[in-house]
Amino acid sequence: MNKKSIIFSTFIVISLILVGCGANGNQSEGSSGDKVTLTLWHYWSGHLEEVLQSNVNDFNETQDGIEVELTFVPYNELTQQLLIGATSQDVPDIIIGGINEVQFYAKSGILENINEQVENSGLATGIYENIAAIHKIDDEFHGLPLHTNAVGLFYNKDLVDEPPVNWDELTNLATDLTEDGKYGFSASAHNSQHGTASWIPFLWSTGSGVEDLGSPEAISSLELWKNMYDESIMPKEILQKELEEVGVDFYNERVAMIIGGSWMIPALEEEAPDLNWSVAQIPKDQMHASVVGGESIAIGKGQSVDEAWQFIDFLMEPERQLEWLKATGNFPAISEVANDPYFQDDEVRKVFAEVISTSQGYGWGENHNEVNTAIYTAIQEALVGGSTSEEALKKASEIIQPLIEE
Amino acid sequence: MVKQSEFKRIIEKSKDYTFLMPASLFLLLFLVYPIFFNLNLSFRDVNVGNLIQGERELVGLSNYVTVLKDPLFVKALANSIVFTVGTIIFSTCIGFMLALYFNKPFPGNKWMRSILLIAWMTPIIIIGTVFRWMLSGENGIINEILMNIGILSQPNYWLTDTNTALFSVIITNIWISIPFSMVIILSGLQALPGNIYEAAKIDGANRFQQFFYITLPLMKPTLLVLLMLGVIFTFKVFDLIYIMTAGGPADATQVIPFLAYQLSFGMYRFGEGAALSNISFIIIGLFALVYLYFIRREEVM
Repeated sequence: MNKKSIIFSTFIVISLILVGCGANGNQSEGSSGDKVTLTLWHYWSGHLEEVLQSNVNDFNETQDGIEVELTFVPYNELTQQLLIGATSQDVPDIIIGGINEVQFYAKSGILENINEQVENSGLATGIYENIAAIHKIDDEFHGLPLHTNAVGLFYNKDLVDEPPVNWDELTNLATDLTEDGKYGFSASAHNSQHGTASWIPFLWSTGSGVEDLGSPEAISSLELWKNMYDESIMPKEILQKELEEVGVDFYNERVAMIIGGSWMIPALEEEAPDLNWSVAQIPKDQMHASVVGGESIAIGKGQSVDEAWQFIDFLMEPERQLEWLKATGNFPAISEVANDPYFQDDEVRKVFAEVISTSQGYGWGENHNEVNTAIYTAIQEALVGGSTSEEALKKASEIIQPLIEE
Repeated sequence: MVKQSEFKRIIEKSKDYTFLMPASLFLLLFLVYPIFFNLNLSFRDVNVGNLIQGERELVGLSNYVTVLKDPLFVKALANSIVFTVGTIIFSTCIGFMLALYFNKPFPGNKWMRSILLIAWMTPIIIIGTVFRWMLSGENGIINEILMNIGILSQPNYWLTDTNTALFSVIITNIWISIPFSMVIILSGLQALPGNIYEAAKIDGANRFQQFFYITLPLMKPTLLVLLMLGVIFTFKVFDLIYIMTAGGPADATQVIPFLAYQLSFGMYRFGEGAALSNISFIIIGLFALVYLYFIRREEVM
């Protein structure tokens, strides 16, 4: 009996060791072949993944030297996985991630500096200043925008004849449209990026910014939301709703106007084909403002830079870009592409194409997550936490100020 | 000659120890190493700025000081305590009542007992989502019922209102914990000797006297185990909070484990996150010590 167990456990230990060696052996074999295999991390599923895969297939067929392989990483885990990988110098060759995360990734040392390649290729010319800035650290490119999107005011045309242009019009119209179980206006106040991205256009519209949250202008922008929330013109449960869930209330005609993202359009068309809707710029205080989102493509630090660049160059080709944008329902970051009739002759796409050319991203480098947390907490504190807008923003400002000054 | 037998003995002994190998290797790798790694991390300044490149400077206790000084820590600790105490008291009491009920033989007993276990077997992500729907202020069934029987005159936004959010999450957690309490208590009850009750009956003790003077004292060891496990399970709650409120609204349901997660994986302040999880480890450790003290006293008695 004794002997048997010893033999058995020895067997297990030995087989474990062998398995370990086996795996290692395989890996080194793979990379020693004459074909370079590039790993690409992305967080898309469904249709977007198919579009990406078909582009990758095209690329793999055009040449023999490089093979790009896709790896799906869930959206919420991408940053964690990249950081974990980077601690052991093991990041993917190519990364497709959120546009507002580029600063954070680059400053954390995950991304390769690709300024030389970008400048030589001429891809940088024509990218909107505001979007190019998001991809630069010390004026050097660390990634390129693959496509962009933005938030805007979605409105139900059956209820809203003329979309509101300024805050007073928004409040008045929303008040009129609010009745028994229906709301005039809705936006995400979720304790995540969703809440921050939905409110920050209002902050920017006053001419203020996150570096100046204590200012009367900043306070007035939160006050606008708080008043509508207190009057139940905005639904009470927006604190628990992400942008997509706010969108669901819009499909179901429970709200007349929402702050929504351009990426919601395909879902909107599919889920509510009969809904009569359109898009306008977010109502303004001083000027129209919006938040730019989207995805960027970048190269992992210390990986096969030259080969990875070939793929990016292939993907960013203007004609392929336009096909890509059509297939994914996203928007260009290059004015030349934005002037294509595809964007200019469509009522909705025209609005977003214009919004994107004038709005900013909201990446705050390595402090991205602290700033984001401080802002959505302030929104929630003002709406339900018993603080006034001033108190809530002052608290956020006390957290953000030292971070920015560092 | 003597030496040889000594040698043989050691060989014999060491053969026995080889049986410990797999278990101790496993513990070393997956328990001891992470604990010490975390301890080390908590004394260093580790954030996104220096995670990948640069020195992870030793900063002594400064992470602990930062965490403890954060007003959010006090709030999270208070919430954690309310959450744990509230859950334990109610789930144990209700679990006890159910256990007493199912301890009596009646038709369909086993069948119903198994159904009750469903609550415990269902993944938290499903329970959390279902309760979110039920507690919804717009069209949740709980508001509907309360308004129909006249307790509420207008809908209450359970998870959006800072006054009721924590309470609502506690109710959900009580619902999850009841079956576990019931099973443990029931197994304790079934092990109680029947002849004591017969003797008590002959002496004229009524049901309440039987419960308070016989059942409860005899159940003390079982209850202690249950409380101990319950406190540990409940104090380290993460998934339910993550699914139902993510610590909101306005930090009304922020608890220690979730705050530690946010520090580490939301803000990537790994040093502070590690410090906070160590603090939470110490708090749970204190509970364990209290438990050991009681057990020891039980045994002496």
